Amino acid sequence: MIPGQDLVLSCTGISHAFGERRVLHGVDLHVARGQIVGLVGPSGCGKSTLLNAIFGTLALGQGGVTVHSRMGNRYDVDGIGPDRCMVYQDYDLYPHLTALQNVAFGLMVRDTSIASRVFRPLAWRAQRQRMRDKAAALLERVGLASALDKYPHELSGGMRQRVALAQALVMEPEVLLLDEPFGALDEANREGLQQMLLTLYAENVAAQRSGGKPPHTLVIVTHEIDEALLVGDRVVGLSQFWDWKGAGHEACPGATVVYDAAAPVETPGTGIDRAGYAPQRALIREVVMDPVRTKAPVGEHVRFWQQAAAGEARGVVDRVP
Amino acid sequence: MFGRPLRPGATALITAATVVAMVALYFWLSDWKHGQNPSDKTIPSLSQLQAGVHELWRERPGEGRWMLIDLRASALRFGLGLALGAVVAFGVGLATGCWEAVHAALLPPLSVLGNVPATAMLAVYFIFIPTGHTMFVSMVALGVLPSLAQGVHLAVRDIKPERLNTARMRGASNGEVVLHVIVPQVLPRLVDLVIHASGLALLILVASEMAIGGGEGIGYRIRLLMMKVEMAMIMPYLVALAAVGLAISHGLAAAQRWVFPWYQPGRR
Repeated sequence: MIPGQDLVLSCTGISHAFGERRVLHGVDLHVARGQIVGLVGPSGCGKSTLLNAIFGTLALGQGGVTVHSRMGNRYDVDGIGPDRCMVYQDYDLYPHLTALQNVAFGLMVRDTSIASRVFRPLAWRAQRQRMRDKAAALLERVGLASALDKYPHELSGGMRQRVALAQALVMEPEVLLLDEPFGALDEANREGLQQMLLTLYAENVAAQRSGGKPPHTLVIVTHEIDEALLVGDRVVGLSQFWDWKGAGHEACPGATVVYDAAAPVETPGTGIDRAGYAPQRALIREVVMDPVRTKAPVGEHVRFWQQAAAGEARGVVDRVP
Repeated sequence: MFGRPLRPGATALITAATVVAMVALYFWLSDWKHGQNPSDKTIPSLSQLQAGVHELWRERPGEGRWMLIDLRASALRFGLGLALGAVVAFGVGLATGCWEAVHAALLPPLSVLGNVPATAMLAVYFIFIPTGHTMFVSMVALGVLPSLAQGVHLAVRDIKPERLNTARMRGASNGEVVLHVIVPQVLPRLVDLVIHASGLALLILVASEMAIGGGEGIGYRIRLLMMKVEMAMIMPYLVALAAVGLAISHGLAAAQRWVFPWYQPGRR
């Protein structure tokens, strides 16, 4: 436990192997409510495995994931649940539903059942209208007000990914997992969606300031360090290149967290100075991505919670407990 | 060249030219045949065809108009049989696609139905099914069932697991996944399958009508007229069959575009 923090997600001691191939080793990750965590690492380091463990599609070898819900209860992740939503890179929407129906679909299956819709048609009609309004409002927020009634095949890749995001956001999940969400998009679309994530974060900070609970917590897997620094308030580096010999292992036991530090918090809509990221980017390259360099002991760059305690982190965790 | 589309007008023009060529070839052959033997009945001339249609349309005491009763009987058997086969196949394919146990259980009967030609199964049906319309309807339905069920089964298996996961992660029950995710995506595929199966259905129907008889129906009449080499009266039935086949595939395709506007097999 991290004292004084409103955590939403705790991964403790996660180790996992696919047969002989050891992927994750002793991964600890605690995420505070309202954070946007950029998860980076060399390819094949198990970023997606960790994400699937949180999502619940993976039966872990060791360790576990605990969710601390808004309502105050805690439970261990055991299978897929509506409290954790995943958006994939090549997200495909339901082809037989319009953008609006795609977004409203989740609310329908979460909040109603076939029996309730059949036997209480009038109540269902009113409910459906509310769900549609909510879905429409969300689509409007992601800039798709004019595409509510379009089918996925009529939308561009960027628009589809916006629908996918709206589809996840409408569920108000405890944590939203994004697996290389913008990988297949062109520059303009990617920047638009990055700005959208910054807006979400700004909402979190505003909610925090006014004493409420920040609504959106995100873990975003990306292969671009810059993207992680830009949209995240914290960057976590997962890597199989760490000093496992020094820790007494004969072969690499899997990737672990080798970097964890606060990232610059950007204001949406303002110009972003990516040149300023250079020193942190260079450090992440060296610590996380570089396979050959002699590595420092694992804990040296895992400093986020120390930074938070020292008041060095910005955004939703800047209050010294 | 392939990969280079024709202008829309050009396609229509070429198609029309082929139709004209077919009709011209027929009458040229007919002319040539009648030049050799003026009373020939194998390739009827225009006037013989007219007389044939007239004969088919004549009100016969105690019977009615042959063409009308035959078309009515065959259309009824064909439509009901294909519809029944499609509905049952949809249920069977959905069940085998969704549940492995059902698949294992239904594999043997479907394999028998799928591998023994429907017309050969006739001997078996004779025992169990009363003759009359019921017999032909069930022949057609059982004949198209295996391939349709297999097609539906594959369509269910084709749906990406992510699409099922995204429904489940939002809390959908298994029933909701089937009803809201699987069924809507499989229905347009069923239409495709029915269009393809309609040719098989016609074949089974005409063949069984020819074999069993039954007093009415296109196959029954063609068989009767064949013995008397009344080609002038057979030709109109062949034209009617071709027209029915064309109407069904185009009608169903149009209905599919109308009901499932999102279904774009070419673009996926």
